[in-house]
Amino acid sequence: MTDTNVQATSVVADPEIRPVINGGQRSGRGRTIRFMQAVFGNRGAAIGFILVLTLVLVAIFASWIAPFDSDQMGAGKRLSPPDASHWFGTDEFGRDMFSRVVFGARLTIQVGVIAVSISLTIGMLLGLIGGYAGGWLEKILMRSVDVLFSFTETLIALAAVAVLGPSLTNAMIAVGIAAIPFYARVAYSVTLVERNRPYFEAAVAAGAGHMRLLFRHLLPNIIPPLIVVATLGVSAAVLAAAGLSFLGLGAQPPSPEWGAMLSSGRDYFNRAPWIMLYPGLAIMITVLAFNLLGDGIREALDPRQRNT
Amino acid sequence: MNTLASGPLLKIDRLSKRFPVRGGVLRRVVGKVNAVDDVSFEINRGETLGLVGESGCGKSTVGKTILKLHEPSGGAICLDGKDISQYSPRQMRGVRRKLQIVFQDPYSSLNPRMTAADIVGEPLAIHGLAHRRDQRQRVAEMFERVGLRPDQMDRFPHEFSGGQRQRISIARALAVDPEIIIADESVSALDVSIQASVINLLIRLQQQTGVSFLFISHDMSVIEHISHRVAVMYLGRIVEIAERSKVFAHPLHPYTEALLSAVPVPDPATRRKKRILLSGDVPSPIKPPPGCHFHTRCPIAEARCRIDVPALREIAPGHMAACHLR
Repeated sequence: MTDTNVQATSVVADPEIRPVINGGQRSGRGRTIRFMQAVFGNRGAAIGFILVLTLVLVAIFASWIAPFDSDQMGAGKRLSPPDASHWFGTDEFGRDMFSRVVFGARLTIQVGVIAVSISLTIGMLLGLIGGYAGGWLEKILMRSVDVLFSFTETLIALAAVAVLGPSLTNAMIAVGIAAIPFYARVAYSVTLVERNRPYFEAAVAAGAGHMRLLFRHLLPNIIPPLIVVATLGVSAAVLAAAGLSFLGLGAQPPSPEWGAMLSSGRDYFNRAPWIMLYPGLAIMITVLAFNLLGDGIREALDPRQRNT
Repeated sequence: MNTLASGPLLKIDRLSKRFPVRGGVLRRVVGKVNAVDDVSFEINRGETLGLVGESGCGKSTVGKTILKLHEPSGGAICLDGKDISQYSPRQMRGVRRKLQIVFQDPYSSLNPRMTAADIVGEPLAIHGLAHRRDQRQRVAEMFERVGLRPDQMDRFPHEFSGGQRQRISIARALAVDPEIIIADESVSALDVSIQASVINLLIRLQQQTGVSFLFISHDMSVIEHISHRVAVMYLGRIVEIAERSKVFAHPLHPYTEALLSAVPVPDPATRRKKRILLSGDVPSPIKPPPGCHFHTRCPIAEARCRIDVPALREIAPGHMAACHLR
C-alpha cells in the first residue's frame, strides 16, 4: 500500500493518516499467527504442544491404534512382561496393557476438558461478577471463595465425591468444583485491573449497561490470562482425578483409567512392575505436556517477553 | 423556569469530591483527599472552557465527577438546567448521550478486542440511535469527519497510530451528537505536530456541530489555542476564571502569573515579564494549607492569606480571581 491510496478526506489531509506498517488487510488473523509463532519459538512449548496433540490423536483413534479391546481378558498370558505382541505387557487378567493405556487417553482427555470447563466457567463468572459489582456482592462472593480456598483441593474433591458417590463422572465434577476458587481468584484480580482501564470508563460514560460492560468489555479482556491458567489447570485436574481413581473414588473397574490402573497394579508390583509403570508414565507425560504448553502460552502472551 | 434554554448548557455549582484515605490493618478511613473543593463554573453552548493546572490539582477529577464516573461529594451539576448530581446510574444512562469524554491515553482508552467500527458504533447501539445497517453508514461518516479512512473501520486499535486512535476516541464521542465533550488531557500524550492537527480537528468540529468542550490540560499554550474562556485550578480550587484574552494578557492571581511566566517564548527577541519561579512542591491534598491554598508558595502572601480562604470574586469586569491582595 502506498500513499496514493490515501483518500483525500474532508477534514484534514495530514501526514499522520497513513496506513500503519505492513498496512493492508492485517486483522485478527495476523495477531493469531504472531501468537502461534511466539508459542512455537519456545522449545518447551512446542514439545508440549506436540505431546498434547499426540495425546488427542491417540484418544480419537484409540480403536485403530490399540491391537486389543481394553477390557478383553486373556488377550495374552496373565502378567506377562512386555514383548513384541504385548508392548506394555499384560495385567492380572491377561488384558493388553498397551491397549488399556491407549484407551485410557480418552478418559484422561475427558477428565481434563470436563473438569476444567466446570471450574473455568463457574470460577470465571464468580470472579468477573465479584470484581465488577463491588460493594456487598463482591464481599459475599469473594469471601466465600476465600473460605473454600482455605481447604485443600483434594479435601473439597473428596467431600464432593462423598456426596455424589464414586464414579469417574462424579470425580470429574468433584475435581472441577474443587478448583473453582482458584479460577475465581484469578478472574477477580484480572477483572479489577481491567475495570480501572480508561476503555472501561469510556464504556460507562457512553451509557453501557451491566450486560454490555460485563460480557462485551470485561470478559474478552480477562480470557487470555485465564487460558494460561486453564491449560496449566488441565494437568492438575488429570492428576487429581487419577488420584481419586487411585483411591477407588473415581473410575471403577474395569474402566481403563490410568489412576485406577495404578491402583490395581499395586498388588502385583513386585512380580509385574509394568502394570504400574506404563500408566504412571502416561500420567507423567500428560501432566508435563500441559505444563510445558501452559508455560509457553503464558510467555507468548506476556508483552514483556515479546520481541526478545 | 423557562429561560433555561438560553442559560448555560452546563452549570457546576460548588462541586466537591472527597476521596477517603484508608490505612491500618483494618483499612479504616483515616483521612480524606479534597480532590475537588467548592468548584463552580459555567459552560455555554458552542463554547470551550479550558481547565488548566498542575498534575494532581484535581482537573481530571472535575471531569470525571461531571460524568459521574465518580459520585460527587457535594454541589450541583446542572445540565440543561437539570441537576444530575443525584441521578442514579439508571437515570444517568438517559443523559449520557449528551455528555461524552475523550481520554488522555489513546492506547488504553480503546477496548483492544473490539474493531474501530464497533468502538465508534457502540454509543449508537447503546442509545438505539441507529439500526445495524445505518450504524455502519453512520460510523463511516464519523470516520471521514475525524479524518480517518472508512476502509480502516474493521481494524483493531493496535493497528492505528496514537493520533489515529485519538481520532477514533473523538469519533466515538461525537457519534451520538453530544452537547458537551469533556476532553481530559486529550492531546497530552501526542507528538507536538499531531497535537496541532487534533486540536484543529476539535476546533473545526465545534464550528460544524456547535458542541461545547471542557478542555482539561496542563499545557498553557494548548489551552490558549483552543479555549474561549480559561479556568485555573490549584489544589482542588479554581483560583481564576475569565475570557482567554484576559487571563493571558492580565492574569490576576499570582499562581496564574507564575504559570504564564513558565510558558516558553519561541522568539528570543521578545522578552516576557520576569520569570516567576515558585519554590517548593504542591502541598499534599490530604493536608492542604489553611487559608489560601497557594500561600505556601505565593511570592506576595501576607498574614491574612494564611487564615482566610479567599473567595472567587469579580476583580475586573468579567474577570474572577480568588486573591485577597488583588
